[in-house]
Amino acid sequence: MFKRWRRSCVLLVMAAVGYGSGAQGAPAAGAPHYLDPEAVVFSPSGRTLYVLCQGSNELLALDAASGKILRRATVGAHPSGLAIASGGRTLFVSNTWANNVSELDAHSLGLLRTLPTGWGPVGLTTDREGRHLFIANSESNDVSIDDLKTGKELKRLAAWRWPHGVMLSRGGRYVYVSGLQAPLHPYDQAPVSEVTVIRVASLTVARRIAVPNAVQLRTPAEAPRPWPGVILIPEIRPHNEVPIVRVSQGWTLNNAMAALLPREGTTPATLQFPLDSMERGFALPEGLAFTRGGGHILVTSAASNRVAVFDTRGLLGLLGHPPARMADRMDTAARFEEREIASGRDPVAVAVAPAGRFAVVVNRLDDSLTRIDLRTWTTATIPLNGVEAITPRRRGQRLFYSARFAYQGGVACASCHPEGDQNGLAWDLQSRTMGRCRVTVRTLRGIAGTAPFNWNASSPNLETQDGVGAAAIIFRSQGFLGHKRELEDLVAFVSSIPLPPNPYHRVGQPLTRQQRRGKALFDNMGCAGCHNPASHGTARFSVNVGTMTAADDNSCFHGGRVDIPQLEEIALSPPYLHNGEARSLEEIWTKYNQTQKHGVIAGMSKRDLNDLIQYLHTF
Amino acid sequence: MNRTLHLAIVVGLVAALVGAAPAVAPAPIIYTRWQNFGPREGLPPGRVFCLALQGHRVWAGTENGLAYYRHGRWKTLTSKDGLVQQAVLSLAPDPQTGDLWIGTFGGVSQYSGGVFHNYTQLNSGLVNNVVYGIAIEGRTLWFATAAGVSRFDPDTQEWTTYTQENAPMGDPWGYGVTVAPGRVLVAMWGSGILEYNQRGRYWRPFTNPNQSPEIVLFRNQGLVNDVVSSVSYDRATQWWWAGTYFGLSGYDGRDWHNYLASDSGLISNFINKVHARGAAVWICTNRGLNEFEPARRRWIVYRRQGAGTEVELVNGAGRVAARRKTATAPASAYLYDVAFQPGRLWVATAQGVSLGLNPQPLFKKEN
Repeated sequence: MFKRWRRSCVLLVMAAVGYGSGAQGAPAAGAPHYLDPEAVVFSPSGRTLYVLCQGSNELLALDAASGKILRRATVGAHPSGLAIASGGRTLFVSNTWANNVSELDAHSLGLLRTLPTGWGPVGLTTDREGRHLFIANSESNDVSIDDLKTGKELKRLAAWRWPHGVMLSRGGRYVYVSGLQAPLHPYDQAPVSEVTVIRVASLTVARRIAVPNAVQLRTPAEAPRPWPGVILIPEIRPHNEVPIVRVSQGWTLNNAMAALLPREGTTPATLQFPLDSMERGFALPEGLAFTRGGGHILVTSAASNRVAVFDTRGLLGLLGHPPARMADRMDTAARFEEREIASGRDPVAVAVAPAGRFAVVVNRLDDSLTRIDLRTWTTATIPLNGVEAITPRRRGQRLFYSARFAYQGGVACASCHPEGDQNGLAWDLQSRTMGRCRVTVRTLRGIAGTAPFNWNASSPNLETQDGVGAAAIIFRSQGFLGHKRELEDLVAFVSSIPLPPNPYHRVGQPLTRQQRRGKALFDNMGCAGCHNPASHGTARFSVNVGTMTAADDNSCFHGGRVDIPQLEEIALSPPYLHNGEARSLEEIWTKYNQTQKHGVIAGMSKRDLNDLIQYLHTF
Repeated sequence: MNRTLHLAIVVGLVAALVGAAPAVAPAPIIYTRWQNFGPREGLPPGRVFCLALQGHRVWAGTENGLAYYRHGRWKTLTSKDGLVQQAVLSLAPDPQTGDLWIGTFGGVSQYSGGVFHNYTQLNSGLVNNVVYGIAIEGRTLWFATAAGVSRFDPDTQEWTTYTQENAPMGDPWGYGVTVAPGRVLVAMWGSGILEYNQRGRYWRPFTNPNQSPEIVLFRNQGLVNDVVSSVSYDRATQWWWAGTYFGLSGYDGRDWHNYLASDSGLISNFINKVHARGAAVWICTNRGLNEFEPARRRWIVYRRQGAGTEVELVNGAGRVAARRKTATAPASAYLYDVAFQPGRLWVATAQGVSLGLNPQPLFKKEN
């Protein structure tokens, strides 16, 4: 029964997404074959450009001068990270949905071997000597260290949470790993994200640098001389700790940058400053690169399709003598921004050619690159020869990653839903409640068929949710009102965001003994009455499970009833309950089920609870 | 023919006797000077339950926080720094990751890169917050708690619970845990030793065949007592050692070897901790410290006498063969744990941490 349901669920997602196989992520026959370039590196000579395409599971080798595609190779499912090593002879690609890394010959793009990782590998780098490969595992929240001599995984180091970007320091002594989500924290407080610093000599964690009030830390970049050790990280600074109606200037999020400044013998100081200006947001800052010689910094705003060019001396000089309240001053970026350059849609990455004459920006949702001449600042587009026909889903995807409809272009859907998932934060979104009725951001992965939406089940469908709701509350603008086609496109995309393969339970595999015991408990306790496995682990009604707190307003949750969240990917999407106060699945029952309305667990042993949770992980 | 045979037998016997003649054993090394650390040196007041070494760093689990020794002073991390609970009962450095795992009265902390990450019975699959023992087996962690045993795989975040429901324990009170090749050994307070077979994934109990807490009818037929406070595995000899509140047991894989204070050099039957090291076992009791070498049947006894220490060499028959007095002593005779650095012996006591220094032979030569 369960297997049938799981299979049908996957088929539904695959059909919606247009993928032939959830595990492989390859486009189905006849479906558009978008490339979705995600990452780029140059060969050391600068003659070859390698572009990793997440949508087509491909690695492309281009002639850097002409932009001509020289070779292409198929890699694993949903590749995310790309690194070049061994003096340019070897490439490493992290296959996020296959939980491994492909090692390829850089000349032929032939597969040399497949290396083990944890769950959801993304960013990666080698050490200078090419002895070890460091891989951030986004789902298992750790960093794999592979021995490149034996091809075996040596160890994993904890990295909280959703480790994403990986950078080897210029001196080669440390590896920096940044996280897209903050470690779990009290739901009514600002998040504190983490940069995990690994000592290369000992392969242990040297320190964990706190980055307060920040999420979505992107890949770090280290400044060149004369600023050695200064590290910049694009980030988002949410204002979830205050009611959203109180947020000044209408910004619910600041698009910002964190700077880690070295201090002798101790943890680096962290400075943060906004990239938004008074009039215009810098939505989704993602790619960052220093030009050769370090005179300029290129930073992409993925949701506003542009690249900012910062004067390095001006920026880092400012950090040496930061003005008061720099983190909140919206005129900060104007002090060092020299110019902006238009790119294609969704510029997610940027790389500077070794000779330093030009840079390349990856336009993910245009299947193209933008080449920037760093002397004249002129640009040229390099098409990657993807599919030209644009489907409604593709248009919706572009809208999802665009700040076009938001007040001053400050946020996009992806600002709170990175990669269609959630950001681990709870918000007070309602203007009438002022400090009450906090609710968490929920994942959009596998959302099709899980209506109604919102924690109070007030949106019967995604059109309502993304239209009126988003416009009034999130975007602080007309949003998609009056833009019916755009709204339909957005819904087409959102309703087709796929679920990644479940690492706890592969499709077709039998449940473990512990999971089987948990399933029996799930069935016997009547959990399926609300969390129907045949319906994504949810149901179309709302229910009072005794989780209301003094901070919850009855006008938000009529009769204390909350929407029943789907259970798919639940293991990977804490915190839990409507306000996110349960930081683990265990806490739902050990701390927040005093009334026993959320399942009668009296008499249940700790072992039973563990088994139940192991079963929930299989959704 | 007969004469030749007789000659061969005689030669063989002589050779055997010569070969079996006792070799001159090296004199035992003892620690002759003790330095004590308490609140004046930065340690929090009260008992020190456990010690651990991580590179050059010495960790001490105290009643009031996690302390570490640096440049002659102790510094303490408490719940204000993120430690899950103040009373630290067990410590386990992970040699692979460099993290330190900390068992407390209120859950488990993982100290990594200067940050605590906490697991409790409420926020995780940990079966109980009172964590007396931690062992690391590859990437897997084992926790001996007051309500059963937890196994945790950090890679998958999966917890497995062992209690009376699925393991042969009468009382689920786990007091210590250690790892041996292919198996995990758990000291159970009241249920003897539990051995978990990694390959077969099953438990096997080792208990006192007399079923009596204080009477030993059959001296070496099983564990000396079921109230086991500590277990340790010796890689050199492949023996296990079990410290109980009623004597010491060693298991060589086939036979049990039990020792009582009444007829051996064991200083007290009330054992808080056993620590196997290099073919010897160190025993922390309520009355002092023992070192025992089973191959030589040789006991070293550290007994506090006033401000000094009386160190004795006791042979297998329980006879004192040598004695030496030193001017200093550990801070308390009530001992909880030991840890070793070259030339140094760290001891956790009921009144702080003591450091044994100046190792010297107990006497010049033993015959």
